[in-house]
Amino acid sequence: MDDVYICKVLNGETNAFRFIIKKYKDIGYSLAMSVVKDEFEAQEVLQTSFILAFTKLATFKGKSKFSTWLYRIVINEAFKLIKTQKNEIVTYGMSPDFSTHVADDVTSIIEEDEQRYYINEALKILAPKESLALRLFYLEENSIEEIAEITGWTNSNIKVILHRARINLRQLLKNYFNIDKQLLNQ
Amino acid sequence: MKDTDSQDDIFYKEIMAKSRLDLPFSDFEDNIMNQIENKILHQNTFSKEIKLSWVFFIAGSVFGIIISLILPKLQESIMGIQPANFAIFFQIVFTSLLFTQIDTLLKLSKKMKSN
Repeated sequence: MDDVYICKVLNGETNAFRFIIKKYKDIGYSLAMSVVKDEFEAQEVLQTSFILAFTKLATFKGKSKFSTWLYRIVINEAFKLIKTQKNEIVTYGMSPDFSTHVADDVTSIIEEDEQRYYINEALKILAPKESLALRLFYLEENSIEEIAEITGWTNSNIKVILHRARINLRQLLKNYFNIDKQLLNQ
Repeated sequence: MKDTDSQDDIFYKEIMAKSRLDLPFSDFEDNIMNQIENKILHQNTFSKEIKLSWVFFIAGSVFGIIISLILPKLQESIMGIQPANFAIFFQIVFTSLLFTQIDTLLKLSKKMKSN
């Protein structure tokens, strides 16, 4: 389906690019958020990425999936932004006080929306590479090889990052947000 | 992901399914499309200007070559300078201008192509 719209854009139908934006904006935003941790910066990254993708579309030869190519642009732009801004990203171990968000008696069922909120807050605390690896592997269901293609990391590096990310995420959910396996299964 | 997901994988899959974010900016698509349209407009103008620059460059070069061929053949001195000397001076200036302008134009054309 992407190919049809890519051909249209390359043949001068600029408006066909709207389909690509519509299809990939949310996942692109999730990936950008994994790295930059700020919604306005993520939007900025996404804007730059889509414009870059549009201008460089002719260089996409179809050797990999279009999504892989686009995600690579988004991730590169996101890392470029945090590198230039030298943001101090809060990583796990420097966890801020979330006690205000969590009621003392949160041992019962946590509502779906709340769970979403806390999971995303936990992902914000995780290091950019960790939250990115988790989103690519579990949310987008990319294989290790595909993640390597998107990020440029080695397979073994990805496995290490994923392992660390899983441990850190579980710890965060358990310690700070009281979300655990049992609660999620309820 | 593997077909036979472990319990852990299922747990993280469930967790991460809840981490999908929706872009909270409703005018995002329109913004991007406007920027793209502006970019195309800018590119078209830029491309036209480059083409025009090449036309003037070629015209100027031809004119310069003609002048540098005519100058040594003149009989009378120009502003008290012998035509041959004046021709050499003109040719030096013309050649240096030719090279600097062709370099700038090539760089701009390259930039246009990469865009």
